Amino acid sequence: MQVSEATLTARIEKFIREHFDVPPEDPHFNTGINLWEEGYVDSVGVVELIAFLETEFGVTIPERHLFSPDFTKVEGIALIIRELQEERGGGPGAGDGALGTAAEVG
Amino acid sequence: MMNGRVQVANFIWHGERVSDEEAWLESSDDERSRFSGQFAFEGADRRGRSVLARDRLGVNKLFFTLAGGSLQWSNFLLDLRREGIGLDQIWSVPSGHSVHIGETSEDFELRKHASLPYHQGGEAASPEHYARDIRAGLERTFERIAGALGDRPVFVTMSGGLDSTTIASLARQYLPDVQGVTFSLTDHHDEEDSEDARFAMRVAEDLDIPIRLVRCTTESIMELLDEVLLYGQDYRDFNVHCGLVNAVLGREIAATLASTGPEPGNAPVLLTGDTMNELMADYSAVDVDGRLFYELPRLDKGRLRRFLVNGLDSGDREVGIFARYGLDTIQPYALCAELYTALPGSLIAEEDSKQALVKEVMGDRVPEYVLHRPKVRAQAGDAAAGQGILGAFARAGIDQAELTSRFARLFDATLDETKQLIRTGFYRFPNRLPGGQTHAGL
Repeated sequence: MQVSEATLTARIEKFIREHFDVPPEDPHFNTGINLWEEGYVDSVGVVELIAFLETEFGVTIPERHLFSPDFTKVEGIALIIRELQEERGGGPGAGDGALGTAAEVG
Repeated sequence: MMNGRVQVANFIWHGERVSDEEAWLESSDDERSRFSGQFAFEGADRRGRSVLARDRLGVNKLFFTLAGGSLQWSNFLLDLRREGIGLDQIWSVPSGHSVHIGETSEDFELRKHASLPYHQGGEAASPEHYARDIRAGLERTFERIAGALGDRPVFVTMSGGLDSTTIASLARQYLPDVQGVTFSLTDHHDEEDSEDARFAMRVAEDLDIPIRLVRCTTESIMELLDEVLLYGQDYRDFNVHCGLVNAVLGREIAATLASTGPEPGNAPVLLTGDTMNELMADYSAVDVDGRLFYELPRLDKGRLRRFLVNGLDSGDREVGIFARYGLDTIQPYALCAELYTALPGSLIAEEDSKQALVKEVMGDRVPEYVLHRPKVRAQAGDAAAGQGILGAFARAGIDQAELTSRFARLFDATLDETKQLIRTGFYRFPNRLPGGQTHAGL
């Protein structure tokens, strides 16, 4: 079942706050901030974030998104998830062009 | 002005036969999945567009730019930087892909030509079944290597561990002229050689392979750091430290060859045990004096493996470093990676999973003392904490931040540009939007 973008954003934000120890009182953190440049998620953390997204939302993040501007912030990541969920519902062939596949999990 | 430069040797097979770049370019999309090897090259497709193609694991690197309106490419970032191309204008061809570039920036396509079959869950075969497949696959791989190399002399980098001992044993069986080479960081005359070196010497003796022990000091290692950053094409500590071991070995081999002179057309090739740790997700963090190095994502090994293998796209700790010294490198495990990614997560999950697999695959051709040896990272060289290059760097205070800054200075790039070069193990590559549209940002 697809969920709203706001719900997606909230769930991703919750994971990042809990997993990467972002305190609730941090005035700098918001869903539009660049997670990598501002140091909230490091190179190890981004892999854990992708693993969370794939498990939580039942999608595979194609690597073509890794260097897109959307993939730097919570609200952008929510957009990507929404797009992938829509592609997944688009019938056979949807999502072609992904560098990885959902099956690539050992 | 440079147009393109491919300096790193390509090794290409079609099925079991030795093949080449032209055969790959002339083949159909379906046929390309039958090619294997380690390669990165430029050519033209059937529509006359420029093609840049790279092997499925990204063993050989390939960078390009369209800055200034013309396509330029190289195995090395440094070549493009020397042409005045900013780091932020340089892209990589992702592993297992080809990039097709026409007359206009809109005529751009990113195509996947090869992928790895990961175990998809569900019922698994018996460990013996996988071991038989791997054994047969390794033998086919070495037959292919033998066919490609002919009489070229071969060096095997040996650490006395499972991965390199397996490679050394098979090289001894399939190749006519094999020598081992190993490394020890020893700062004092009375210091014992590293555990890796001692095990490697013992293995070489048991396999009846002549071996050369290359000793170096912390000071001489530090002198190679800039070269490793430039030709290892990475600033991350685990790859920089590993690249330094290879730089010491490469420099020594090259110096010896310069003095003795290889026969023309018969230059030596290095075989290594690299990529096996990624394929088996056999990594763990290392504690040095209470500080944790080489931290990994907190994922189960089955899942971690996919990210580690994808991460081979970036970093040139072996092929690039050895190429700097004029040496060609082959990574046999990379040539048969599909045998290892086919393993179910349950067969790589335990601490001793690799030992069990190697024992099943190789039997008594890998000695018991290697099978039962605790895992040692090449960068440390010893099971005791604080040893090797990792220990030397930790004591010298050369941490990740320093390595990143130094890389940025060497490439005359900003820290932001440097950090944006690699993400989740991939070098930066142009985006492709759904529906076949392109957004290369070129």
